[in-house]
Amino acid sequence: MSTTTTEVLVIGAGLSGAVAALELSRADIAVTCLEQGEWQDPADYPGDKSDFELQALGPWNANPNLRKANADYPILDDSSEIKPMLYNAVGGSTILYSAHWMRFLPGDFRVKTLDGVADDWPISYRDLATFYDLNDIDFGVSGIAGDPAYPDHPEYPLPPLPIQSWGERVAAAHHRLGWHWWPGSNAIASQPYRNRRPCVQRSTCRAGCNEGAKASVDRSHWPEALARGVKLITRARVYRILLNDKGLACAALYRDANGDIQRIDANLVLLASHAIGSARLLLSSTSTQFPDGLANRSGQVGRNLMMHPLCRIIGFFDEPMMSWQGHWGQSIYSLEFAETRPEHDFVRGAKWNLGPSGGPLTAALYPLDEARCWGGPLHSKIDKWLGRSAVWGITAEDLPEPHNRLILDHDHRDSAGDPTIRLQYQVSENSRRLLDFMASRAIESFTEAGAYETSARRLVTDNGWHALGTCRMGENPQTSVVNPWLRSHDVENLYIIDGSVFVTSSSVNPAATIAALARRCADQLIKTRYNSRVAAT
Amino acid sequence: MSRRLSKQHRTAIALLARSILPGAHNQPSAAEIDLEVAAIDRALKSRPDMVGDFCAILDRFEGDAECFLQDLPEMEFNLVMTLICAAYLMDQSVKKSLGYFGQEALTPNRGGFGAEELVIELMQQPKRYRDV
Repeated sequence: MSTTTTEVLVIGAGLSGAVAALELSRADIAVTCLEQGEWQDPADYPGDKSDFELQALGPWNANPNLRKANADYPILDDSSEIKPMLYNAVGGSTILYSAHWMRFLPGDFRVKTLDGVADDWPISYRDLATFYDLNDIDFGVSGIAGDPAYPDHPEYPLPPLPIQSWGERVAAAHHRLGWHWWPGSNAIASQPYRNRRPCVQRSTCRAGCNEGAKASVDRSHWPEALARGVKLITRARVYRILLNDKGLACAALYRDANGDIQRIDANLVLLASHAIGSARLLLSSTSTQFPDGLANRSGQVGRNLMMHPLCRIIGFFDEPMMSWQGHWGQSIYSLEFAETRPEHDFVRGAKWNLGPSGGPLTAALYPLDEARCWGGPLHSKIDKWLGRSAVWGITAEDLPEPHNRLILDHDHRDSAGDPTIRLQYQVSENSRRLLDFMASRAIESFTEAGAYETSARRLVTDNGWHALGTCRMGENPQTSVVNPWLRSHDVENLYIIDGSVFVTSSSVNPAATIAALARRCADQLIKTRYNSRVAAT
Repeated sequence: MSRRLSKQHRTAIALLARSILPGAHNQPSAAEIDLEVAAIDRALKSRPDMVGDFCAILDRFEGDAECFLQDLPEMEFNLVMTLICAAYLMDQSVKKSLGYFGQEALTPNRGGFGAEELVIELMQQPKRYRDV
């Protein structure tokens, strides 16, 4: 085992790790990042190849248990109603994400105050606004400011991507219905931007962007971070964080590309390994000081898992729209039903995003109903779907519940012999009622837009993109894992900077808020030069 | 590929494919494109991880495609449908019949995003978020 040293250790080169590493490097702080995956070569992305859809179901599947890549670790999901979606590489899940770039609504931070459920965040929209603004520039977000659903904010750096003919139809329908809609904000370049080419509407964002138009952080952040001196070590799977005799995080142990154990010493540790990976690492890092897992005196590590239950509604139209093309991100979104209303039989709400409907294999295999479909009906399904349909994807605000959680399963071990992480997650009755309501409204939306037929899947189980909440933020060390600056209550120089710190989930896509939180944390570290003890003190 | 398709496998694929994709809506039948030959090889080349399970399923085929498809466990049904449909839909003549030529790189109209007039109207509306 060899030992190296660094000032700041970032564990995970995905969204939050990249944002923090870049920001710290801009302040000339020495950073080393350990990433269990590898660099991705965009030439390997299948989007521009004839077998794209077949590849997207296998080697490029967002479910790591189906993908089974070398960088993935097993996740036991048989006790979870929603299956996890993530990616392990430099860039993390941004390699495959759709890049919907949405700010939380101000009310999303105050659900206890407003609606009497869950908890308020210890920070507000105003605390994050500056970091949302700054990240919009680094990520090259396309969109248009002025949405009445949001406080005013600066114009996005790039104009919106085309909302496409289906977007125009539905936008006009919502105008007639008096329902909210807005052109999609996406971290996808609509024009040449920095080192990125503009989107060519290939609609293959979910398997990597061949053009580099999408702001996956391997493109948008890591080149500058590396140029500024950040050291990035790939194929480095961290399995334990060590403490010194002062109770401070002082090192991490990892297995390198050869499976050999290595040690890296650091003054400060930033954990940026996804809500599943971070909780896994903390729960695995037991010691006499922390027999239930590092930074887990509260018992909250792994709990309050939120997964954003989703329903999907298809609208079928007579006119050809080439709807296999178009950015896989949102063409338009609606926040009409994002907030609690007294007439509803559920609390909180949902975010709707309208998008294209995929290619012919998607058309053939999509389960429109329970019956098996082949023969003439299969040809009919392909005929009516391909190019003449659009999709509302609707994410429910998932509320934290302690029994929805991650645990270590010591009866199942990964290839290195470490315990496997297990998801225990049930969709709440509130979410089911919410999704039922939203599906019915989305059918109204499509019908008003001229759809001659609709189809609704009221709970899509293979869409767990947004795992959140497993190391929640709060002021009280008894009920939360990190403080409002993302510093562990229990370990003074350990920060958790990914989506695991979310108190509640909002209904909007979390990427912009994860990035804003990470940047705010890094900014605070720079301003205060940590303002806390570090391992070397 | 850990296994190769045998002559019996290809016969089974042909019979299954004729039931699954008999041709309609201007789409050719699986028989017209000889799906059990080059088309299925192309699909399996793309997904060598599926070959073993596919062959194991085909080993059990006894000749009645309709009953076989109906009785297959869900995961096996999905695997058969995925490979046979992918083989079919990757064929150039099928693509042509659908007017689909793959996920193409387009040059979007940079003149506007669409529905600009409606957006301008929306901008005049009062703010609707809860200010807390």
